[in-house]
Amino acid sequence: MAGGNCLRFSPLDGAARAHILLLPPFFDEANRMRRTLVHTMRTLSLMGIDSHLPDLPGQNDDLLATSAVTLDGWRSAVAQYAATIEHPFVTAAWRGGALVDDAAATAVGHWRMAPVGGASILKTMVRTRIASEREAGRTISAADVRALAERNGHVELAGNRLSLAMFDGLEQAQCADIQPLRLVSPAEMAGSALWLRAEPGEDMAMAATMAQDLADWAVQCAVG
Amino acid sequence: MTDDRNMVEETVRSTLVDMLGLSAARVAEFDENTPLFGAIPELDSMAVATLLTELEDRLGITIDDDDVDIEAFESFGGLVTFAARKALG
Repeated sequence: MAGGNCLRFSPLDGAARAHILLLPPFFDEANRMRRTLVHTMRTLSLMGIDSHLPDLPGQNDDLLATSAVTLDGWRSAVAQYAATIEHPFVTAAWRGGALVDDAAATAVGHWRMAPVGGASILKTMVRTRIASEREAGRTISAADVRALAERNGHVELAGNRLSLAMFDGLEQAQCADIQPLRLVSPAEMAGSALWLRAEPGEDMAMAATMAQDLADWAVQCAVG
Repeated sequence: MTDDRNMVEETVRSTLVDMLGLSAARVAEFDENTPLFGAIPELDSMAVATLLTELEDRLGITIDDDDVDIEAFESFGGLVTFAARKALG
């Protein structure tokens, strides 16, 4: 990831007041949030804040096969990317992104929206497989899905070929206890749970509110 | 019991508001017979999965996947009845 794709918006004039590393949700939820996150970054740049949205290995435009990625690999990638960001910086994580934000060990603060455990992410993906098999007239159980992953070393879930290591990693992963932390809900940011949208949408009011909140938090943490 | 069912119904409505990106006012008009899965193209297998996990979180319940009958989700009334059975027994 350190050498991979990254979207970055910097202030046009003058030095940045603070830097932010954005960690989007995982898998399909990231697609549903992306437009709103990018708008948040544009707004941040107008506020004098520099922001980075790197692609986790195998996600978005990164070409690594999803079957080759693991949660530990994502954590190392976050640590490597964090080492390239100017200081002081904070992390901003949505949903599954909060499972890896603590890997940015030198961050002066963290911001999270609706953090979620890995087991919940995995459960929805396994259910998608179960539901699509049913639509095709076949029956498969959650235990069968797990057995498939063990037998083949990977399993296809909701359009992603997950390795057994990623399957296991998600099943166990919990968000770390980190400080200083600002925890927000979509409602507090004048928005809604965009990651649930059956069709990806966008919310410019939510993006503007998140940008203001992130800018305030990043500057507050940077000053210490 | 009626209050409990109303609570479940409101939770189902608010989840559909988030999933479909509709206004709360639009979803407030959904009645027993409003068609959902099978009638709304966005509601595919991934949406079924998302809905189940979200209802678990919001209602504090556990849903056994083997117990999910997709036909129960074909109407708003069917979905509320399913959720109420899980949440209220």
